[in-house]
Amino acid sequence: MMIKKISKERFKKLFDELKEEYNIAAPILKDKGKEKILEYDFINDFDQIVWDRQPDSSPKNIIFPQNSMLGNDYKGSKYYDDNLSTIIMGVRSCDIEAVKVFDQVFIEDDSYIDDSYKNRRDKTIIMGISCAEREDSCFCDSLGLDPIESDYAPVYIFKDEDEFFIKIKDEKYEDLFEDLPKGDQAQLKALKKQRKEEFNESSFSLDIPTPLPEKEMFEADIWEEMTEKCLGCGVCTYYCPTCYCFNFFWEGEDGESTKYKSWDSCMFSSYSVHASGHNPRDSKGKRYRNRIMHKFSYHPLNYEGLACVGCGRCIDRCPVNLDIREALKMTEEYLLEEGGDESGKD
Amino acid sequence: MADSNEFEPKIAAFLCTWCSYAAADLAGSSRTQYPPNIRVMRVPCTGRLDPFLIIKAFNMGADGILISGCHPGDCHYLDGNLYARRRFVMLNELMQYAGVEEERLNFTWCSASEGKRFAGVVKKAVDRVKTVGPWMGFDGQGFSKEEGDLINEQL
Amino acid sequence: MSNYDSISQEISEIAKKLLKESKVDKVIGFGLGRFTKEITPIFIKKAEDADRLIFNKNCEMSLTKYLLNYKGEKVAIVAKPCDSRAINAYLSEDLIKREDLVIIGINGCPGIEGNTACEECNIRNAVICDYSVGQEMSEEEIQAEIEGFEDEIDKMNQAERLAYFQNEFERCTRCYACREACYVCNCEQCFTDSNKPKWLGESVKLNDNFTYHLMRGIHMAGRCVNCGACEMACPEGIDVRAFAAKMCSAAEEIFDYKSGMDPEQKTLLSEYKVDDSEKGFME
Repeated sequence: MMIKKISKERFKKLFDELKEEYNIAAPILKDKGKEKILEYDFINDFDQIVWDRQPDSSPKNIIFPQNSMLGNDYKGSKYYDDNLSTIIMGVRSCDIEAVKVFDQVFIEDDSYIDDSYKNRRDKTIIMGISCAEREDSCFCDSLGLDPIESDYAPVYIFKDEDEFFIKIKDEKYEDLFEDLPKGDQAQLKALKKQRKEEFNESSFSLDIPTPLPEKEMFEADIWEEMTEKCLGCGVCTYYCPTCYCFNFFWEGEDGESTKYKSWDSCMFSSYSVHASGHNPRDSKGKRYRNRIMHKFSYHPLNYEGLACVGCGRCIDRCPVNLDIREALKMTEEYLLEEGGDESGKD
Repeated sequence: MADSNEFEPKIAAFLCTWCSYAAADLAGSSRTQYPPNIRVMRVPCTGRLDPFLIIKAFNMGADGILISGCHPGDCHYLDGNLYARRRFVMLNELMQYAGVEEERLNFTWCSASEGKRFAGVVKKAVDRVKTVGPWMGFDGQGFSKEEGDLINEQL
Repeated sequence: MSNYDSISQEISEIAKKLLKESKVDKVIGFGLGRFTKEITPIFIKKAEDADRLIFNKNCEMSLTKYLLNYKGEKVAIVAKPCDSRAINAYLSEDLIKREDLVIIGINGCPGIEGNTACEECNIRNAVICDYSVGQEMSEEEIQAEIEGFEDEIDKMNQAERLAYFQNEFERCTRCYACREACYVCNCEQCFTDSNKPKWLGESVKLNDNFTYHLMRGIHMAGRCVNCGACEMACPEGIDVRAFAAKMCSAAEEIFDYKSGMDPEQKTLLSEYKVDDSEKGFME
């Protein structure tokens, strides 16, 4: 492990050095009509990076592009070169854990390795950044994650006003940062401790078993009530850093076509329609059940850890403010009630 | 032969089978010349024309469209073209608002006896589309050569 | 201008009464979320919960579409003036039954924060209701509210407009939030999900995005009530309402038609007049 401490100017210089050899993606403000949205994209200028708040969308766009034509994923991105590796800067704890979910599914699962994902991922270095304060909808610590530091990123940035601590955890990348002035470990430790104390208490606490009991929750009668207001759009899944469902399709006519891979969403009514026309998930409640159960039951059953990282983007972006925390609270209350009943029966 | 570099538009023409298609026939059998730029699609009635088909024609690389049906009051199905008329007025408003040149959208009526008029209409439509040049698609990217061939085949 | 607190109180009282007397099974209205403290649609089933109902400038969702989920049940709904027009449209299309429905209409709607549709809205009183809350706005007051509104896009030239919409639709992710939030979009199968004919591709490319919005736009002709729910729902802040709004203004200008004003009214494109306008036709 190596710890470095640098000023903003020095970081800028480092950035300019790195961009010669890497594609660099980081959260930048994008003008979107009425508002500005903080989003990850390939950049060329250090000063564009916004460090101080959670980006509005996750780095999913970079490691798992919405549309890929296999090998031609970032067509039109000015600062992307296919021959170079990519550094994603300023990724928060929640999003790093989300990358872990992707890796578990697409790489570590021996039954099938997704080559296009693996190639992209092998050429990606994630530089995390420590969170300084809670956003309204964040709840990663309620799910047992640490917003200050995640172990999954090989390089981590701690921004202290205009200075940056850089912690290099993976020896592989030490060369890149060799020349930088050394940082004091005790100082960093103190900063982390101070952050932890400052990090205000979440209003949301959760006490559910993980994985959620599969059969019991599948048959629970709370789903329809939970999703009464759901519109059935795909916003929550598109902005979710861990939702990885995808679809293949071919476009073109008369014998010539291109195969595309693009995101799918379990919230679309057409998601699980069979060729016969039968739809096993024919209501919003059943679809939302799949979303929650995938994150809190099926994923932990098959891999490790939850597939929800508590970033709160689905809460921010939902057109009707359907709150996943409310859904989880309802689940908790349901299990509390039912659990009591069942122990009585046994 | 005119200058081969001159832009020759492809115009998707939707003609109602009872009047305008017959008018096109009449123009042919009476040897009235009209420009060969139109690709005729016969529809039972202009009332059958979903505005989507028109949008789709643009998506397939048509430089303009020409829609012609029976004169109001003469519809074989009594009022098909009257429903269609409102639809086209609204579509026209929408397309122009979206930034499609009005010259690309040509709506008119032609009865079965108006072979001469039909030839005139086609000529006028072609001239109109010529003034605004090739259609580059909604994304402004244009259409590739292969796409162009495909469209020629299909239209 | 109506006072939000008094409107909220009136709504709660009416809801309480309706539920107590079992006139309805459910009241659909606006309330606060449990954690976010943001406005969200709520469904009140018990009279004692009726106090949760509120109304303020952030009540941006259109609740009308939820009525389709409760066919055959007796429900009450809190309706902004635009929602009341949408309810009329549903009644005219026979999608819901008037006798199953209790409408709590809001008069003197002050507009929703951030919703640009409200800047041009001249229907500020509920057009159909059983109970009305708030103070009715007079014609002069309404004119004062919308004064100075101009359609910026209309003033652009053709190339500028095309560029403007290309720039907007470039960032569409096709999550279909606009479609799902829209009361008009209640087709059993949307054209976007249709395989045969396949109207547009599934990949998120500018051409397909543009086509999607254009096709949605023409479907709005004579049906859109310009409530702005689509625009409020869009997570990318795209001007998705523009085409629909144009269809509204064109219908009014050319055919003197305003959708949802009367439950007996036919939709614009399902009727005709012999002397209809031929605006835009070739000579």
